[in-house]
Amino acid sequence: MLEVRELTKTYGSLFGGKRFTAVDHVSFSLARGKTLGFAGKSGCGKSTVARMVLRLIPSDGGEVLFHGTDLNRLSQRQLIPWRKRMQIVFQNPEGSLDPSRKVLDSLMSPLAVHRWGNRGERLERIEQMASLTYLSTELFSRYPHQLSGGEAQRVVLCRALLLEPELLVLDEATSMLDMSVQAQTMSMLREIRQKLGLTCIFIGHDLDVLRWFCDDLIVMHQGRIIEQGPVEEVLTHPKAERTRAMVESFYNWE
Amino acid sequence: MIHYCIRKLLTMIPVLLGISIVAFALGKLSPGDPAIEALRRIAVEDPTAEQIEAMREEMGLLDPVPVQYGTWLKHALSGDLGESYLDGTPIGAELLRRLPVTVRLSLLALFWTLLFGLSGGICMAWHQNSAADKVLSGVAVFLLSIPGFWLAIFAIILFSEILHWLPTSGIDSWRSYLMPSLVLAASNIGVTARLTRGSLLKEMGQHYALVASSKGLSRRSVLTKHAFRNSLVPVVTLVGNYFGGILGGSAIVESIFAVPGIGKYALDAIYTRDYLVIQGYVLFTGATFVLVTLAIDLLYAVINPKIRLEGGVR
Repeated sequence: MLEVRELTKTYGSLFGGKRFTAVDHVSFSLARGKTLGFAGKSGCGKSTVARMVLRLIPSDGGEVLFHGTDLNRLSQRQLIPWRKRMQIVFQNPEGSLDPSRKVLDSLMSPLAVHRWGNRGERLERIEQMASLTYLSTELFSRYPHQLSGGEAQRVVLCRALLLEPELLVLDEATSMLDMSVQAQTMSMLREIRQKLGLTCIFIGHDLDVLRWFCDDLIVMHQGRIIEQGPVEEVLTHPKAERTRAMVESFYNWE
Repeated sequence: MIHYCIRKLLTMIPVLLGISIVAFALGKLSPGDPAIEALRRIAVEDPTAEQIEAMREEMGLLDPVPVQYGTWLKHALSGDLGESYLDGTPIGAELLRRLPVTVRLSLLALFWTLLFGLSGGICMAWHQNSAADKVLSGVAVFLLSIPGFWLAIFAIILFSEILHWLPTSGIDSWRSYLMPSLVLAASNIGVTARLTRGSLLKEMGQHYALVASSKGLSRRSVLTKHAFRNSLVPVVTLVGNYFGGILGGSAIVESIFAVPGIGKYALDAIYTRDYLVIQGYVLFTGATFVLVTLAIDLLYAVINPKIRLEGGVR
């Protein structure tokens, strides 16, 4: 379903000196219904990859084939129908909501952008997804700052699911929540993933969560993929030196 | 929201009292004996000790200082700020007579600031890191770096002396307001543009803005529907403080262009040591500033629900 080839992103310095390569010729593919995990240190380029896949930031080379169409070749206008087929949930749920809008307005917005149904149908749709994400309708009239972290994350998740995306990117979506809420959210995500048949990209630091949630895993370091394969294999028999170090430090630290 | 308004109104009171105490002290501490000054004004050139004593009695200068302050405040509240030492005109009436000029000038300067500052800032943010962004940033730094008095003189030379487009001074028509208001706005246009740019880019980089583009909103819609409103809070603070400042009269610009506003009145009073006028000016501009600040606070509440609902449910 998703095929990424040689995706690259560089950032120039102010005076045009040597360019910094944030993502260096990254290639991978993802089959429908599967979940691909990304691990690696902060700044290794995993979030940048995800953002380029959704074309939230332009790439400097490479192809993103979604159902065989190279998204990098589409204009912003041509991209709009593709947008609703892939959604993203970020690390900071409160920052992902416009602080001057009530929850219901934020939830209405994606449906309005894609001219989906009339108001009644939209409300029905929202309620349906809210029940799937255990989101109480009482929260609809609140502003983002009146929500707890877990509540905000459910609002954001509900919003991402409204357009029935095929691909859901979870960019460290639970790492700002405390442990118990994180566990709840993760089981909810797994349940939803199964119900809706979602294909996911999951970016995270917690190897246990990655192991539990993903089918395949990519480990990145300084913009390059240093290891990729089935999650169990990568974590139990890491081939690359850095992957081994990462696994060891994670479990020893615990 | 109502609680917020009431609380803001209540916090104004001690500030206003503080201003009035400072203004009162200014009058008390100023050199010269008000009784002698008052006698001179009624043409008693060389008053005897008895005359002075009688005058002090009459003016209430023998009362304890807090009582004097109370009397003074009561008069000030009813608009009686005393009379100018120089020509005996009532200060309150003179301030009111000059107020429309300063208000007109300030509103026009505010208009330029918002027009050029906001549009410049939006333009820079929209074309971030392009040549246009860099050129406009340069212009903004240039504008905010030029001292107002220099720009005023330069503008007079260019537009009045060389080009003969605009009058050099006075307030004969709307054209007379153009130059002073632009000069008054110039540095703040620079600051506002830079702040708007930074603030907008910050909001455009927030996750909610990325989410908005991921759901298919164009960059223009993300900017107009989400980022702009949220980016306004720091801009409102800046522009509001600036407006409060110039509404109290902009002494330098008003005096260079000979605009008979409040600032010019105060500056002339400083030259002639007309203490009561300065006292009235301090009280008046202080109160104006506090009122404008209150207006900004209320405006915040409109822009930002976090402030509006403060103290509500978590």
